Amino acid sequence: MRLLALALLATTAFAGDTWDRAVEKGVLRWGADEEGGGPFVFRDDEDRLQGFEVDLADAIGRYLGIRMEFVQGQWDRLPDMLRADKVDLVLNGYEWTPDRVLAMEATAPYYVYALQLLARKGTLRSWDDLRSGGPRKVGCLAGSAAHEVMLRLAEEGAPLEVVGYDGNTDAMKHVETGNLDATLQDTPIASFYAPHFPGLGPVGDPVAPGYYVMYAREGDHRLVNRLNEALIVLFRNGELERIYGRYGIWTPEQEQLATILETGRFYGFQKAALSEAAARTDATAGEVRAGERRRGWAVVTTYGMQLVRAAGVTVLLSLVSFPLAVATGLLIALGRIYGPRWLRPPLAFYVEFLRGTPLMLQLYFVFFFLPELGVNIPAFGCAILGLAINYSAYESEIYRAGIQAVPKGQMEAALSLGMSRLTALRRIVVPQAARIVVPPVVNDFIALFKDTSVCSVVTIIELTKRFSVLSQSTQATVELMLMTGALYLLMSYPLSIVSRRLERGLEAA
Amino acid sequence: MTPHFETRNACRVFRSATGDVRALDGISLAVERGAFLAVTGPSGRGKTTLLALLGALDRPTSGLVLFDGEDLGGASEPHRSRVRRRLGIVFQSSPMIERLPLWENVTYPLVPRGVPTRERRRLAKALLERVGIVGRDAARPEELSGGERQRVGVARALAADPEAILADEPTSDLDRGTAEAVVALLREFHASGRTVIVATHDPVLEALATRTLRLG
Repeated sequence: MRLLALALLATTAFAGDTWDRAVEKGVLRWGADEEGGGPFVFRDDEDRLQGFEVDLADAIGRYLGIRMEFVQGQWDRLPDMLRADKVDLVLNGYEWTPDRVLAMEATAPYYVYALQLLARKGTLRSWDDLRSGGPRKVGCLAGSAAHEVMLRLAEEGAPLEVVGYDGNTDAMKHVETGNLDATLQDTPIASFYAPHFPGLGPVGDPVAPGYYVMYAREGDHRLVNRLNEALIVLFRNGELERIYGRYGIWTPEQEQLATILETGRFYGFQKAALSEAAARTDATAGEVRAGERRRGWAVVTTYGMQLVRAAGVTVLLSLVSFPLAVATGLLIALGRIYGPRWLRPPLAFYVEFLRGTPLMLQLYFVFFFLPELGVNIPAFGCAILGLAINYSAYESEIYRAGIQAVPKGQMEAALSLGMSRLTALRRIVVPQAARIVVPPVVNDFIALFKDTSVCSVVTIIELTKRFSVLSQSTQATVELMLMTGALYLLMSYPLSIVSRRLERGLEAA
Repeated sequence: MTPHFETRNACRVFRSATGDVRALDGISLAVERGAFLAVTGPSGRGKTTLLALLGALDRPTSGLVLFDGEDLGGASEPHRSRVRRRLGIVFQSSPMIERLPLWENVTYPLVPRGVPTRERRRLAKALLERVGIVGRDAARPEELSGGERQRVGVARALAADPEAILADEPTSDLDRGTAEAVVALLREFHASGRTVIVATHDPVLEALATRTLRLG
């Protein structure tokens, strides 16, 4: 993955000016991860996109006169998506760090956060309990500033085991259940989710304040200037305070933004010409807090339809990619057995290469690296392509075995009857092989069906990802898990029945 | 006159993981139209390989294989399948299409020629009777004994009225009585002026041949 990331750094996918293109198309694509959850970007009970960053993006869009389009991406992959021109900016609780500004352009900050240590009430009194005392286990969002802080603390000799999590609330849940002793969270998360975790309490004051900034592609100075201009106006006209207030995350520290934005005292930030004619929105929107924590049947009735819709994506991915895999696999198998000699080594390499590398890596390649070569396929196409290519290797091996299981004499008999090789394959060998390969092929289809969950790495939200997102924002993991499992089973079991019918049918033929 | 079949320094090497196997090492031979050639020699000396090359079922690794003066080794697949339609081939193992009844197996080569089904069935019945298989034309290949399969193979080779027969050990699994029926068919075929090439250990067939090629 590191190599791939380096290769991605080597060039930039989109050479033109993002701002010009945004003006031309009237759209600016911003990337974030729903799985990160509230208060940043999340789905509410009615499946609407919510979060202070969603509101912020909309407000910026109104000021710039451009439609802001949300693009889902795995949080730690958002910079890759930026480079691969899948999004125009990253707006998702990304801290300003010296490392990141080396590779991307940062805007002025839009939020001042700090890190809050959380533990079960009464277990930890202060940070000193982490530095000394018994060994403790702490968890944070992998790759976040909080993660860095904890890792540094452990390096300095604190007896800590630091665990990286993919989602924010997983760690909080594990502290509540006792799997972890503490978690370090950004202040917006700690305050937004406080009602969900009544057993947790803050330990000491927030530490290590920092800034959330938006990141744009390297060289996109004009876009960054326009975004900064929007931030200044939104701060001045009180829109920022209104948005943050709605989510209960406006703190006195945010006044720092005034100094930074007004004086332009921020790395490389040029004070742009301001227009006071910023679009103001009515402050009628009500307060948004984390929804109440549902349990049991209420979870099914509230989120069931979201899961069912995501299951539709899973089915669609499987039904489109598998026939492609079957057709490609059959051609490869025939090529390897009957094709010209020079064709066999490359085909063997194709099969071995694809079987020998993980599907996830192949999807990354298609999604993040092909744009470097000028091939930009939409996420859904990437997912289909990745699945089809990966499974074609497995399919071809099944057909190869199936064709070779048909006695060699059958081909000779057909040839001696004056059939051409192609006719003999079509009329004699392939039909006999088909019966042999039905069970393993159906087996593979069920495997592919479940492997569609890997497609979340290329921003597809299918059943497993939807489960993951929902369980982050609701903490009703057990109910959602049971429902998701039931949906998978409900979809794959009919396949097994069809397979048995098919086998019997071919037996009779 | 152009020989009916000809090979010039034909070699066939089978590549395998354990090393190359030279099944046929530089065979040159010419078979005139109407000849009866017996190919003899111990097992594993390339009799079957030679028949496969002459029957356009396989291609030589080096050297030439000619049919009616035309190169077969480098010919296109459609051309080779046209040549195969002019030949009757009897395999040692008598492979058959297992899901078709005997009569379909025997007269399958006639399908592309547009011979009506009733005519094919009648012809198949007659041919099967000639090789001693009576009243079983609707049976499936799996119901046959080894010797019966071999005789069906001979009947099938004759069905398309070929200009030559290539037969690999056509009497090896047969008892004296049924072997004589097969020998009689081959003799009759040869007497009509057509070419016969058999790989055999059978002294009766060898005695019938106008020429003998000994491999090994």
